[in-house]
Amino acid sequence: MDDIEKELEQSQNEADLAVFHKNYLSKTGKLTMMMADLKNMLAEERAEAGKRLNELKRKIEIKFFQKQAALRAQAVNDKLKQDPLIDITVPAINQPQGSLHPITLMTRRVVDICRSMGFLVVDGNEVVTEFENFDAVNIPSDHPARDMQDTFWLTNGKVLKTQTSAMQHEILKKYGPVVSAIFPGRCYRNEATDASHEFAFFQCEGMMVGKDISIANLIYVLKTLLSGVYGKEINVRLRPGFFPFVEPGFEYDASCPFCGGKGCPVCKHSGWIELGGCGMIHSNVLQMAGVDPKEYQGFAFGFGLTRLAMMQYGINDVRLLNSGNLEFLRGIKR
Amino acid sequence: MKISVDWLKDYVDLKGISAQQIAEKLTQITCEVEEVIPVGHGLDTVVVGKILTCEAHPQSDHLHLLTVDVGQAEPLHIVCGAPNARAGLTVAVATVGTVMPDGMKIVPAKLRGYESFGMCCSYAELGYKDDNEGIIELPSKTKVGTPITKVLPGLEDDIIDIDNKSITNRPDLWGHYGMARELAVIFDRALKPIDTTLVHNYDNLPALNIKLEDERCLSYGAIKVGNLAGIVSPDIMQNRLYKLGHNSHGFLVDVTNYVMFAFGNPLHAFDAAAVDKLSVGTVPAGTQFTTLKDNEITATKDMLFIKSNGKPVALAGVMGGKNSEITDTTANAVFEIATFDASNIRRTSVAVGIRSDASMRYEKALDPELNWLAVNETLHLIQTYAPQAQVQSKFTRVTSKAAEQPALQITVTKQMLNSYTGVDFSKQDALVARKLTVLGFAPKIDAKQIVVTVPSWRRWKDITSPADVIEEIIRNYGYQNITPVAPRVAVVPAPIALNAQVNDQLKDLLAWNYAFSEVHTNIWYDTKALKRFNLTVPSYATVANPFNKEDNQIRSTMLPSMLTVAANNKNQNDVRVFEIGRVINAKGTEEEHLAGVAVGMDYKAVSEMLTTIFQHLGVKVVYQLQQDGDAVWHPKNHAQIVVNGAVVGAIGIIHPQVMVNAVGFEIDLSHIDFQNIPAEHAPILSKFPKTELDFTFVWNEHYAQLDAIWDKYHNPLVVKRVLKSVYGNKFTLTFTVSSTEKTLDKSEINKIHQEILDFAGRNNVKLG
Repeated sequence: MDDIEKELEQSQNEADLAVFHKNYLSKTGKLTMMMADLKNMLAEERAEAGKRLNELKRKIEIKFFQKQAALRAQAVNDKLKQDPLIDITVPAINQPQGSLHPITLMTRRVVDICRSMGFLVVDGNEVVTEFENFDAVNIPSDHPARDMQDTFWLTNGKVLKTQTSAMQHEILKKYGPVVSAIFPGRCYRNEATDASHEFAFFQCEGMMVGKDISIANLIYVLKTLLSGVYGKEINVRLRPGFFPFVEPGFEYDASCPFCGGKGCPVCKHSGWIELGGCGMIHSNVLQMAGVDPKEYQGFAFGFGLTRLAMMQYGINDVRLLNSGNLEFLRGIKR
Repeated sequence: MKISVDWLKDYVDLKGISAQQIAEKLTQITCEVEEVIPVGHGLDTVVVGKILTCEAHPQSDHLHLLTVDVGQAEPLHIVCGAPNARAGLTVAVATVGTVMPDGMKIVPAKLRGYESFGMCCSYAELGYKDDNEGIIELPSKTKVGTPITKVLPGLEDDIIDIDNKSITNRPDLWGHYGMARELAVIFDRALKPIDTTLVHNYDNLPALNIKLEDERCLSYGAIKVGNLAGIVSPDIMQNRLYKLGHNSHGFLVDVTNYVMFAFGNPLHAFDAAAVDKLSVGTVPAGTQFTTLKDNEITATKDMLFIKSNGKPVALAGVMGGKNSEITDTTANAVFEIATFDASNIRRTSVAVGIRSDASMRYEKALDPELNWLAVNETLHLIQTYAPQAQVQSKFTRVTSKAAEQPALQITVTKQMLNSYTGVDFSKQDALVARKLTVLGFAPKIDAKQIVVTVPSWRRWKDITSPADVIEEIIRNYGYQNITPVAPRVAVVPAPIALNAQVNDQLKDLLAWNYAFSEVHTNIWYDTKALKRFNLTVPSYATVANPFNKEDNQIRSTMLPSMLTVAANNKNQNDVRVFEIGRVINAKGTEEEHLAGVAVGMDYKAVSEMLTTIFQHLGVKVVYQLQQDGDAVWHPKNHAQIVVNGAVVGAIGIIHPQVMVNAVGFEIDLSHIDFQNIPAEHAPILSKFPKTELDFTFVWNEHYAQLDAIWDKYHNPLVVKRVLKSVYGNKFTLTFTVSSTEKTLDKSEINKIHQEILDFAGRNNVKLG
């Protein structure tokens, strides 16, 4: 017995163990053979011997497995010692360089918060009718507002939409009269480009129409939307403003999200950022879309997604956004 | 538009209110103030002085050596270059320490050897009026030592510059009196009423001969005044015009400008000798006309003119004519005070390219009643500053039918006011009544409603509906006093904008899984780039007024836009760009496309990418051989992309003459039905073993066709088929055979094996 244990102890590796296993524990091993020999014994001896032999085999087996575990652990440890040391401070290199456009990233912020408030998100066309772009939003043919915007006209009489307001009519008709919707979109203006002007830019417009929708609701929605976009409490203030499709109309400012209203270069040290126009939808606009202004009322608001993105990412030249410059685009990830 | 606070005080008491406060309140309640420009501030150290002695400077041919009494113990020694400097003159002296309006600081100085302790000022140097002829000559009895701000009215002022765009809808605000009315409302001060009876003193004089030939002239009034030659405008008038940016052009012209800035109604003055038998109407198209500023105008049939004996003498509402303008020798003048149709003036102004102070106002739709305020102020100014003048006619005024608008009453229910604003106005009757009254709306308020009568000056294209009246109330209530309230609306799920969601998924997959960058491009072709690529691509819509003449073709494919971006990024590694954008198709309808170009990615990688991405969206894309592809593609290696049997796009290696080593793709997303994607079932897992059967087929056509053939093979025990490998024309497919009920035995598997072989044989698919 002691000899067997000694032999096991002297095993240095898995190969030695295998030999030991073969010699004692396998089908042809000594211990197994001894078990087989039991049948030659006398019945009265057999019980006693069998019991002793079984105990012995069990004991050897346990020792064997213990030894095996110890040798395996040692082998892993020996290998660990030889493993090379990896420089875990080396950053990822040759990463794939994909990116989403800053306008997409900004739009998602806006869309997420608006969806959470139950707003429908509508994607509009870039080519719209003259009616949709102007007449349907209460800008008749001789209105000075048609001069305010330099419009790209198509030879078929349609226009590249100059404002997301061009979508109001279609949305009111399709989803109205009770509707909450936002409609981000690309707009075009025919004007010379420079650091702050581009032919194509993005606006986002929103509206809510119902039975009792009020100016107080408008302020609430703007405040909630902007606070959601910037992840902090934003204050909104209205000023008188004139837009043909709303009455009353307002310009609105947001407390500067970048300095909290203390004053910084983004807000030109005023603490406020002029964001866009809003107001109660003009009764003519509702009427033209088949919504009875005696029954329903609501608000509309708009702002420049391009401007929001430029402020958010500190982009000082609007032309970069449409430049397709990958060095620029790949530098913005979220 | 510039407004003088000093001038406003003629009409409303602004005591104790600073220009900053005015600007702030106007911005909150009325219009946008761009800036407040202080004028003549800090001139307290400029005082009245008397020149005691005046000697020529020994070393100069024009300088004088003065001693000037400014009320101090000792007279000041001043070196002065003004030609009119002389002993005994009462002058304005900027003493040491004064900072002049142009920023120059008065310090003790030596001029050619003589010390100078101050400066005698001209009007221009003080910023008072456009007069730099010499130093100011004050009346001799003016008390020495008096600060000059007390002597020159209006020297110290604040100019409020208002953003014109913010008052396009307020024709009543284009003069000081209208702004004064706003301030009277804002600060609860009284507005000075304007007496309009003076004009009637002349009602007995002969009328002028005026004929109205066109309804687009709403009102035309004129009055003739004589004996006005050589009158110099008074300081206060010159000063007020100067502060608004206008130099003096003599009393007659100054009066017309002054009255316009006071009340907002433009005036014109004709030399009476050049006009007779006035009429307002059109002239034959093509008639030439020269304005007093020498603009040469060719009349159209729509332009309105003022005519004298049938010949044009003024382009109505825009500018007077050279042939009848006021000159230095004009003694008798005819003053025109009129109102024209706003749209007509605007169109004329745009057509001739002249935007005058007059046209700018007329195009806002002025109130014809303003004529009476304007003519009275004109007569008042003439009486005050040119007492020798003789009024030679009555104010003769003719009006068109359009000028006779009936009074407009508007009723706003309190229920509507509360509902529209979200503010409870039930206890605000006093405020509402007070504000509306000063605004001129004569409100009648009871328990249920507010009834107003719109004043004439707000009646033209301005206040027409209850919402307009609500604006008057709520802006004066104060927007900052509105408490934000969450809207109370029924919780109805918003319809899901599927394409927006699909677009978002596509963008995310391309950007984050395949390292593509999203770019933005214009909807028209970049013609220069097309030429560079030597590409001809179809366009089905044209921009009539492109910014660059050649870039007028709206794209029907986005691929050129992507190629342009890729080409512009030559300096970058691994150029992979995409956009989801718009095109106009052959039917003239707008489509949404996904397009992309990858440089250095091989064809297979891009096609596998599209397969995977669309699989993600539940859409199976199939690549199909394309005959006669567009010139942009490699002549052989490009394919049509087919979804549900319809061609929705293309993929291929870009023709090397267009771009080397690039793969492009374009898919019309508008024509993929993302709405009806079949529901997905989880795979049925079997606890029994699976057997994979590999077959290698020799196939000389495109894989898509082989795939289509095997799509038709069905056996419920064959649970999966995948393309394992491709070597030349050898395609290895793996068929997975499995049952959910039992372990299939050899014979059953062999049976399927044979079935596949038979199917291949029937379809002429040969084993490799």
